Amino acid sequence: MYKNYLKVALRNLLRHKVYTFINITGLSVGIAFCLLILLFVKDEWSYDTFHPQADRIHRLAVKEITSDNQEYFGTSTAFVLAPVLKQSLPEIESTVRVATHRNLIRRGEAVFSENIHVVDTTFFQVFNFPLVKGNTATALKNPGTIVLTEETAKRIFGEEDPLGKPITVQLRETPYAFTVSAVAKNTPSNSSIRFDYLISFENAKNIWGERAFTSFYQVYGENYVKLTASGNINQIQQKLPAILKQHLGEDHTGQYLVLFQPITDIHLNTDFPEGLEPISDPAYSYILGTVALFVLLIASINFITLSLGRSIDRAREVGVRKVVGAVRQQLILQFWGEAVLVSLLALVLGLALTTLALPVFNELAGKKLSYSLFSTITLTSLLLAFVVGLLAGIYPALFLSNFNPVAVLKGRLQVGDANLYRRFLIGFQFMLSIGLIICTLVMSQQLRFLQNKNLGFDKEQVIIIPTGVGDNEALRIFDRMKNNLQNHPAIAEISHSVFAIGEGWMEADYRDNTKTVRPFMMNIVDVDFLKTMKAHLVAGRDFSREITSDISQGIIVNEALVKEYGWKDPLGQRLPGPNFPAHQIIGVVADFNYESLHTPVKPLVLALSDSLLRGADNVMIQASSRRKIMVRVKPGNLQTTVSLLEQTWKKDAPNLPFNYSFVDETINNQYQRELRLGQMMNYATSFAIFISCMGLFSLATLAVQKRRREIGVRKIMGASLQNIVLMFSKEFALLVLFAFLVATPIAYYVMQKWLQDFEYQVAISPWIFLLAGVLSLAIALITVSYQVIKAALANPVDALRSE
Amino acid sequence: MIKLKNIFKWYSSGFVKTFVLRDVSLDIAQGEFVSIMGPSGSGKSSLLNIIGMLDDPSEGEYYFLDQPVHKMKEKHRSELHKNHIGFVFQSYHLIDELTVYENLETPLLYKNIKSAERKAIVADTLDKFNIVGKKDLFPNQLSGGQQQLVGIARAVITTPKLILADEPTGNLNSAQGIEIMELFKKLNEEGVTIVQVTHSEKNAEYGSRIVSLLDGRVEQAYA
Ligand SMILES: Nc1ncnc2c1ncn2[C@@H]1O[C@H](COP(=O)(O)OP(=O)(O)OP(=O)(O)O)[C@@H](O)[C@H]1O
Ligand SMILES: [Mg+2]
Repeated sequence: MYKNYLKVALRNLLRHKVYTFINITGLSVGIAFCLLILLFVKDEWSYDTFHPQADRIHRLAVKEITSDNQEYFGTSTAFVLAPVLKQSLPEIESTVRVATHRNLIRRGEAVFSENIHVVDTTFFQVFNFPLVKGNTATALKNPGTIVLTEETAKRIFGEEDPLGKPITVQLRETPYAFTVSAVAKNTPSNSSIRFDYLISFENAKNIWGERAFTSFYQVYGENYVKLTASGNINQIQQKLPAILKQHLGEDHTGQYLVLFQPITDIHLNTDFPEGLEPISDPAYSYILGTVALFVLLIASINFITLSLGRSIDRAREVGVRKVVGAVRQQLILQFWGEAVLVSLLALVLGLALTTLALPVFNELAGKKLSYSLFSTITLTSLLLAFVVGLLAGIYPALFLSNFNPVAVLKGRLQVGDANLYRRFLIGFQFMLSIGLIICTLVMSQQLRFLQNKNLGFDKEQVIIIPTGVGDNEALRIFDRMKNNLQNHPAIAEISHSVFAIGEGWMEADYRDNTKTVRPFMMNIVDVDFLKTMKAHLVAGRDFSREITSDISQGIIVNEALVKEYGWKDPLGQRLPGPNFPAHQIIGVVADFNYESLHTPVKPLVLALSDSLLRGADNVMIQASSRRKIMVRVKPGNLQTTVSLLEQTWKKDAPNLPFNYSFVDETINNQYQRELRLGQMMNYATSFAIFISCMGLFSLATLAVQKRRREIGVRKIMGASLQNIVLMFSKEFALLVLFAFLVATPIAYYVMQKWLQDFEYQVAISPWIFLLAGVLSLAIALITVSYQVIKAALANPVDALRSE
Repeated sequence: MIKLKNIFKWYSSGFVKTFVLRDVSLDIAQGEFVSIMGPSGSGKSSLLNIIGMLDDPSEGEYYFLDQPVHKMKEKHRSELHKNHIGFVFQSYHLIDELTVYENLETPLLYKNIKSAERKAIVADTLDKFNIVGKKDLFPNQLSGGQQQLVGIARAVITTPKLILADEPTGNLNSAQGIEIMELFKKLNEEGVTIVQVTHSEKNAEYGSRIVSLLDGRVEQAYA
């Protein structure tokens, strides 16, 4: 019996190739898209789950609320924190501190600028980072030993065995001799701790100084704790206030809260500040998941509508089968089985597509996902295909099996109800497509807006060269480079600053005369900084080499700061803190976006030296505070200019690695998440439109086929081509209109929500909706008209004779 | 074998009832060869469908092999239909996607007959109808007469007691028609009861009795 069904099914599929092609390709694209997103989401949600007893590992976060309600919330915490807590809390089994230090690593003549993780020896006990060479118990025991990942080992040592080899690691300004003690596996892509080098925490005092080990207010890294099996956070939280009071001192005012963030929670919890590794917004998993489901849904709807559209073809078979003895259940089973068969065929193609598309997808998503046929994903997708087949097949199966054989075999078949249902489905399909079009258009408009918005400076043609060395040496290199480059025709300006555009600038706060805590952002810059950036002064003057007091006393602030302090005439003013050394505002720069457009421009102070910071209470630094040289180049061949810079660097900073980046690219990287989402949306929307078009095309084919005779008769009665096209188009146009009316408010609402993430939002213009509507209407009409016109141009006599 | 008592069939559209069969009573004994005749629209097909249990009467009693069909549950009725009745149509109604062999096999599948036995029965039938050479062809590769031959073969393959044929020669030329009617005659002689609808006096003569319908009523025969 099943062989009989299978034969009929396969022969039907072969006979109606276009229909089969549309069904199977549509579904397989849908399935492949879903699988890719599934891989993506699985990766996102599996972060840090590979540690043993991951549920017991927590990262400490500190929330400080001062007595005047200023809040500091960070996942970078003081090095004293974990040890102090472990002393008093038996619930804590072990602790690990993880901090990073960017500095130079030398092997023989070769120099690399690298990011080094400084960790406690408990690192390998608490976390699951297996070694390929060496022993976890001894790898970090000696302060002079260093662990490399396989990738790093290969980069530094090539094919040589690195074990026991010497390597020089510079900590702050001093080079130290290290020995490679172990090689670790590369960190998995779904890890919130990603290292290239590990050195023992013993070295931390050489980097951050002794005070970092006693102060609660110097924060340089992350603290992790592993609880005992019975350890309970609620109990810990009850004991914490007393313990903290003891260490912070009785006179500590305000609140100092220590939060325990489960390690598996780090990657997707946007309520906590980012730590050492970037985190991700769980909303993106949901958005992409929904979009993938939409694509699959559109393909499934094709399947349903096409099955129903072809039901007349199959009706006779149903009638005959009933007459020769089939009962309804058997027919339901047959047609349902056919649907599942089609979706399984689509699955095979979908799996192939997934494998083919994975490299492109990885590029888009910025991930290193891999797919193997023998994984749970395949099983999941099998299930997915099965469910799609079952769901998409149920209505056609019920509908077809319900035909009354007498009516069918007489050719007196009514398909009225199915038509209504079909219209609803097509309308729904259009709704999804229009929704996706609108979202894609709004997203790309916002992204274009972000990239083109006037930032208050000129981001084009600026190259940043991080010196990677301490201030004295950095400034010496800068002077040499400036001497060599400033008169070169390819160079417009050259300058430097501690922080470059696109990285977090330093944040400081102080208590003013009324004891209120007041934060401000700060950067330490060179005299030519604003000129190089092409930022605009709105009052006062720029820094000057001729006026020597500028070095220690002159500051330039931005408009946001002037506004915050309510100064009518800011020039000559000073920050109202009692501890600040002598200083005065010499100029006001127009607000420029030194941070991403997710945030507003915050009050900013620019100074030539760090003397002002002596009056600050807290200073928070996220990025490397080593000088960066900033070069504005003249338009021309960028490649030759970069080589010029490299040549000069090699001469002026021998033995130091040359790195560079373009400011505009760095700025674009700030919107990488959004850019990625936008690109994936582009793909999804194209797929969705493509699949619905194919469905519409074949539906139109069926509709026209069924009404060929009618078209013939109408033509003989004198109907013009337009009349006939109009007759067919009206129905589809109404559907599109209806879908448009439903999709628009929903898409508007969703996009409004998405835009709230940005401080600077593009206005959603009504043109986008109109465009989406007109576009889908045009696509629908072109698809339908093609078929109708073909039929209408045919000789009506042929149509009538063939009946 | 068949006993129809005061059968009515009507269709209602809105408030109007259109009567198709009016008070039809009819007895057909086992082994008879009955021809139903009458002008177009007189209700012949409707009557045949009711006898074949493809359609229900609106009113009246129907006994098949002395069992009350009008009181039966759907399942029981389709068992009866499946085991005892074969259908032949004017436009053959073969399944286009199946070969001759597979078309013949289909009714056996629905009777849950085992594979080996099925093969034997189909081979027998192909042989009996002289269409062994056509077994792997699809319906559209056959002439109308050949298709109808397959249609009849499919109707008899389950060895039904009753064959119902609705204008079986309507789409055939006269030579093909004669061949089909001879076949029916032979089947009837083997003991199969046959009820056919026909417009042709000549075809009707193959049967043992003629029932004339006019406007949904049986015309009294003056025989
Ligand atoms: N589903 C239906 N709804 C309404 N009227 C119907 C329906 N089915 C059949 N009829 C009507 O019943 C009457 C009898 O139809 P039937 O098919 O039995 O006639 P017939 O004698 O077989 O005609 P022909 O010789 O043309 O095949 C016709 O007038 C037809 O219009
Ligand atoms: Mg008829």
